This record gives sequence, structure tokens and C-alpha cells, in this order.
Amino acid sequence: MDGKAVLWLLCAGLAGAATLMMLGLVARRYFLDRRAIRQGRRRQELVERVIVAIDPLSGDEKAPLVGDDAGRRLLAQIGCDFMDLVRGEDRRKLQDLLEFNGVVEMALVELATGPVRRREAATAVLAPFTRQECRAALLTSLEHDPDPSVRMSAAFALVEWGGMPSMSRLVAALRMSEDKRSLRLLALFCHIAELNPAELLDLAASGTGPNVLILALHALARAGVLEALPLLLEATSHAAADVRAEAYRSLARLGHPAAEGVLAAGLDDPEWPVRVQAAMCAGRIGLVAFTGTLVGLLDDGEWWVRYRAAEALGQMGGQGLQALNSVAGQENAAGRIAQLVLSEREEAA
Amino acid sequence: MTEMILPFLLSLVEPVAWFIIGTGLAQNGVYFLQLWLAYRYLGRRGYDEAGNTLWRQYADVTPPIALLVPAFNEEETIVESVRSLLALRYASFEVIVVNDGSGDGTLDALVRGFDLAPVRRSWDDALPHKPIRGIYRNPAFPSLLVVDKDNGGKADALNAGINLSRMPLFCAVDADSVLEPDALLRCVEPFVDDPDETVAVGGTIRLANGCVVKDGCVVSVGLPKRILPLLQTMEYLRAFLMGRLAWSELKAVTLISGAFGVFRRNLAVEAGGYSHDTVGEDIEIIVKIHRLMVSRGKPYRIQFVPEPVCWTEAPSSLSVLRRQRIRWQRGALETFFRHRSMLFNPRYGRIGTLGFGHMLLVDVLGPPVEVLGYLFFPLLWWLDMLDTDYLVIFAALACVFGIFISVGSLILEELELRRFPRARDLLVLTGIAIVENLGYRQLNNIWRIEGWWQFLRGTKGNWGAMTRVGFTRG
Repeated sequence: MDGKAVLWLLCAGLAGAATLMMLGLVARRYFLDRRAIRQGRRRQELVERVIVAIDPLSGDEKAPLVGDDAGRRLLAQIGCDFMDLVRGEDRRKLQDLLEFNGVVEMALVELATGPVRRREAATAVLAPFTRQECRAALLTSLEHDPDPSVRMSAAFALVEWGGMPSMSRLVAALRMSEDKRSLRLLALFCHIAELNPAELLDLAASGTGPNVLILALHALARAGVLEALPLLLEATSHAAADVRAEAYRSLARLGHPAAEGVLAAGLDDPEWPVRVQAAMCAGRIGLVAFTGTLVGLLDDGEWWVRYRAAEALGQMGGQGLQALNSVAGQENAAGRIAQLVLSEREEAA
Repeated sequence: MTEMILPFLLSLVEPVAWFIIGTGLAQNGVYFLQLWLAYRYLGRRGYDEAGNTLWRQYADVTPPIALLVPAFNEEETIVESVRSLLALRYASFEVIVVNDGSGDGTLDALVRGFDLAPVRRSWDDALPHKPIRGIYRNPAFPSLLVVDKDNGGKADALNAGINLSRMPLFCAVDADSVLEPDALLRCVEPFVDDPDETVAVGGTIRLANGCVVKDGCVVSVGLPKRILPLLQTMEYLRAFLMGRLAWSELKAVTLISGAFGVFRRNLAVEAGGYSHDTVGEDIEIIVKIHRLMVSRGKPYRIQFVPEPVCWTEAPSSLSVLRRQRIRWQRGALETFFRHRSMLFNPRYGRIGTLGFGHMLLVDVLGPPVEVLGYLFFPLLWWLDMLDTDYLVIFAALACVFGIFISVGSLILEELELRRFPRARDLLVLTGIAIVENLGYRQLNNIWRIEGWWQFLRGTKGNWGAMTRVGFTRG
């Protein structure tokens, strides 16, 4: 075969492949559209039948609603949407209805063998079911699924709906030893801090890496766990500046006057993010003893420190506002920031 | 004299021909690689309709974002655009509209539309920008801040917005764009997963021509009726679903569109913010952030996420489109030559080799070499130095490669986003994938040569104002 023939063949091959792919794509879309219309109708019907079936007075949770996997997936979606909306007897009936129609069995299979998205969806379906088989499957998924998002979803399911494993198992499953900061992990910690703060306190006290420690402190303070106070006070002298900054942020959130003992160090910290958080902490708790130090920070080289210090003085009211007003008369950086923060306060009021 | 020149010219014919063919093959090779990488990503991720799941799982811990909206002569659309931004589904955000010395009534429209009053606000003077004339807000819209400043260009307006923002992240959004309600939530996902390493994230830009927009939301997706926006629809699909996705997979993203991108504020400030002296401020800031992060020697991620969608209006007239393409080309060249020391520099890893290598091939060499090909091969044929069959084969191959790549991108769209509601739309776009190779692609390359010319002459940039037809209102 000569060069021309090869090139023509290449042309024809690419053109043919493109044509075939597009025809396939259009045909696929045609079927998907039809299926979507059918599913839309079916979903609507199912929603109505689910509402009837979970009625606490006349509902029948043993009503056979679906007989195929496509129907079970639809019912699973509806179940997930409804689960957060209903409570008590309605929720129990909804769970029984899903069980009776094979949704749970299907989710168990998908959690074990499905593609990533299906596995993730299956964790949400199984979350409210407290029977041993479901908890065990979620636990297996938490510890052995290769995908981190599935493991995290399984952790959420176990923490939110009961069956939370020990913190050491969670630490291993979610690879917390790698000390990666993730806001998903923070969301999980926030749940744990509300439901089981002792576990999180143990984790924070166990000498974990700085990133996980930051998340744990944040979650504990957010949940208002006062037992975290010694840990927070200790963290204000941590070697990592991020941890120190979080410690002051969390102390501000807790609003505990014990922060007074460590605040001077924070306001004088060499790292400006720590000074910012310490200033905010002083303002939030209203520690007027630091008025003079905060006035000094109005001259800080970093704008954020100047701004937060001025804001803190304003928040303190009385003595702080008086100091802010007196600085506002000066013609320098401190005076300018004081004037602007006072204006902002007036406008906000 | 002629006896000496002619043999010399003839001796150049073959190397030049092979250079043109080689460059074309290399470009197509890169496109095939991008397609494969994009498919690989999709194979891992699959079709995603998990908006509600995202909201349930991490809405509480999403980092606050400042939406920066630079506006220049946007009187007609600005109020509706801001309303749609204020209605976004996100836990904590503020919208900072920066009126960059508009000559029309943009500021008045905002003041009237939101009943704003002048206020004073302290800001971090970290980045340089033209003087601010006034700041406006209304306590009834606590998430909205309007800044009025002297005209200084888009980069200048964005720098002012960065200075005024007090959120850890900012999102640069064009004033004429419409974000999908979940766009921020999805775009911020990499920051949620890895807040330390993620420094910037871009989303997909799609064309709203042909769509119906109601109350600042795209309520019905359709294809544009006019040929120019239709052709651009295909270009955007290729650029975002194939190009950006592939570079994101390779960790070599060199561009996050100026119309929609989320950045860590402190790093953007440390990188020096947006540059005033280029028309490609969006590509420039990404390259500056790369340089900054490489100099720190810490791992970082600049990522593209295909699901968050920002709708924008494409130029409908040749003159506006020409200006836009010239500007884009100049912007790419300015950044490439300003940071040329990064090219193939092992210190910059994949960005130096893959990112800048790609820019060299596609943005620097691509247009002049392709236009040279348009002239060179017909000339050879006219001089009887090239067989007619080969001339036709080369032309056909160039077209068929282009069609194949476009069709590949359409498949990505169908698998990943499936935003075109009718199967018929796919057929129309298939037609466009063919038609674009018969004139539009060549015209585009000629405009890019104009961009090259303006770059060489050192023409100054401006806002690149666009005449808009406006969205179809529902």
C-alpha cells in the first residue's frame, strides 16, 4: 500500500469513527430521554404511593411498590429525600417500606460491588437502617473501600445514625495519620463533637498531627464543649502557628474568661494570623484588661491585625470604645483604622 | 543572483513542509492525549447529580467566598446579574461589585436597584489600583458591597475587589455571566477536600446564547440560533471539557477563565494580584501563582472541576468576535514571553514542560504555522511541486482530525454534563463540528495572527468592551 492510500485510509477511518460515535451518541440520548420521561412519571407515581404508604393512620408499609432494580433505585432516592423530612412513626414506616421493597438488599449489593457513585449513594440509603447487617456493611466500607469519598460517606452514616466505631478505627480508616486537613473531616468532627465529645477530646489529647488537631479543636469549640478548655489553653503555645491561631479562634467561640491568662502571648505572637485571632478573642470575650495592648496593635504592620484590633476595641464597648475614639483623632495609620471602624459601627447600627 | 536564491529556496521547501506537518501532527497528538485524559477522569468520576448530597454533607463548613464582579458599562444588565448572584446556594458569601469608572449609568442603576447609600469601609491596601471614589451598601442587602473607582481596566477592578474582600476565598465573575445555583458549592469542593494544598479552582464556561434566562437563572437550555455563537459553543466544549480537564488531570493548568474562578485570597495577594500590563490577566495570575508556589517548594493544586457551570453570552458579530480573539491571543503571548524562562525549565516541573510546552505549540507556533500551511501547500501545488492528490489529502486530514476531536468533546459533554436537552441538539453540533473546519477555523487563525502582530507592536490593552444582544428573557 502506498503513502497516499495509507493517508486516505486514515482519513476514512477517522471520519467513519466520528460518524459512528455520533450516531451511537444520538441513539443513546434518544433512549436516555425516553427513559428519563418514563422514570419521571414513575417517580411521580412512586412519590404519591410512598406518601400514602407511610401515612401513620391508613398507610401500609408492606405495600409492594417496585419489582425491578430501576424501580428500587428510584425508591431509594425518594427514601433518601424523605428520610430527613419525616420523624417518629412516619420514619419507621418509611424504613419498613424500603426494606419490604428490597431497597436495602439492593443497596447492600451496590455498596459492595457498584461503581464509586453508586457506592456513595448506597451509604446514604443504608445510613438510617440500624440492623446489624447494614452497620457491618457500612463499617466494612469505611475500612476497606478504595475510594476516600465513599469511606467518608460511610463514616458520616455511622456517626450520624448510630454505630460509630471507636475513634482509633476512624483514625485508621480515614487515614488521619497523614494529617491532611479536610473540611469534610471537620464536618464529621462537628457531628462527633455533638454526639460523643469524649472521643474527640481523646483524639485531640493524643498528640495527633497539627492539621487534625486544628479540626478537632474547632469542632469541640463549635459544639461548646467546655472540657476542651485545658486543651485549647495548651494549644496556644503549640509550635505550629496555625494551631495557635485556631486555639485563640476556638477560645473566642467558647467565650471563656480563662483565655485571659494566655492572651498576652497571643497578642504579642510573631505570626500575624495568631495576633489577629488573639485580638478577635479579646473583643469577643470583652477582656478590657487588654485595651492598652489592642491600642498598640492599631499600629501593627499588618492591616488585618490593625483592623481586628480596632474591631475588638469596638466590641468591648465602654473602655474599648473610649480608647478607639481617642485614637481616631490621630493623623496616622492607627487613627485612620480607628475612624473607619467607628464609621462601620455607626453604619451597622 | 536568481540562480543562487532559487536553489536555496527550493532546498527549504521540504524542511518547511515537514515542519508544518510536524507541528500539525504534534497539535493533534496533544488533542488526542487531552481527550484520553478527560475520558479517564470521567471513567473514574462518572455522571454526577449529587448537588443535594454535597449540600447535606458540607454546607456548614464551606469556606466563605467573596464574589468579585468587575463592571464596566453594564447599565442594562448589572442589577439582574447581581440579583442572581445574591440568590446563589451557598452558606457564606458576599458580592463585591466594582464599577470601573463606567461611562454609562452602571453605578446609578446599582444605587437605584438596591437602594444603596455611601458608606465608609476600611480595606487592606495590599494590591495597587486606581483610586476608589466611593463605597455603597444597604443594610437590607448585607451581602452586597458596591465599589466605585476610577477607570483602570478589569485587572485593576479585580485588585480593588481583592483588597476590599474580607473572605479567605474570592471568586472572579464577569458581570454579564450567570452562575448556576450550585456552582459555588461544587467549585469549592477541592477546597473542602484539601484546603491547604488547593490554591485555585476553575469551572466550566458555557454559552447562554439560545438559552432562556429568568430572574438571573438559566431556566431552559438551548442552542444558539445564529451561526457564530453555534460555532463558539463547540469551541467552548472543546476548551473546557477536553482541554482544561486534561491539564487538570496532569496538574498543569495554566488558565482559569476570567469569567469564573475561585482563588485563595492570601496567595493571590502574595503573587501580586492581577497584572495591569496585560490583556490576559486571567492566564497571567495563574502563572504567577505557579511561580510563587514553586518558589515555596510546597505541594499545591490548581484544579478544574467540570460540573460548576457559568453561563456567558458569546459575541454574535464578526467584529466583536475578532476583537475578542485578538485579545486572547495577545494575552497568551504576553504571558508566555514574560515567563519564557519557565519553558522546559525542570525547576517548574509539569508547568514548565507540559503547560508551557503546550502554550508554545498551540498559542505561539500554532497560528502562524497553520496559516503558513494554508499558503504554502497551495503554492507548492501551483508550482507543480505537490501532487493534487496530496494537497486534497492534507486538507482532508486536517478537517477530519478537527472533526474527530470535536466529536470526542461532544461525547464528553454528553457523558459528564448532558446539558443539551434534545437529541436533535447533538446532531446540530455534529454538523457544526464539520462546518467549523470549512472557514471558521481558518478565520480564527487569521485573527490570531493579528493578535501576534499587535503583540509584536506592543499595542496597549483595554477592557475589550463587548456589544451584547442580551439573554433571552423568560
